[in-house]
Amino acid sequence: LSLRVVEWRFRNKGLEGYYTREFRPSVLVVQEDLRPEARRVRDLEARGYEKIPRAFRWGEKCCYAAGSLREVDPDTVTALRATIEEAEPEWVRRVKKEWRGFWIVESIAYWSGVPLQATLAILLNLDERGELNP
Amino acid sequence: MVIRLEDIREFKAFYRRLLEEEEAEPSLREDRKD
Repeated sequence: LSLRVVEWRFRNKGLEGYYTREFRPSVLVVQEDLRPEARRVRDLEARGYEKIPRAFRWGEKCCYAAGSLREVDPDTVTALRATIEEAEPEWVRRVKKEWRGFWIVESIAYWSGVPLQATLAILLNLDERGELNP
Repeated sequence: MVIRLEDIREFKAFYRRLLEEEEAEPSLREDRKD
């Protein structure tokens, strides 16, 4: 096992997770009582950092809740792209279903019920393979 | 920012203690696995 997951009650409620390579194995600390979907995103994000270590060179990462696209951390999306399709095929199906030919990511996330960061990661993967119908 | 740093420091202090405990008593680690 290359990642240990620990629950912790952060006082900063916007801090959904904290990933650190300071320990072996690496540790993902998730905010206690986080919604299951948000927790799943942080888990997949950390596993992405483990899977593609060279894509993320820092020793630690604070993972904040994102209420809009401009608040989404690009590192989070990069990490999710490496794991999301295999781990959450149902999320991929729901995002595809809501795609209407426009990059209205927040709307797609809302109507699909898939977390915003994950929605963006899925769309970028689909787009890269030319699987988004206009 | 201050809260974030306090949060992280507190966690690290806790986790270092946890690792020390597990090093002293390896069976604790098995008990704590999900």
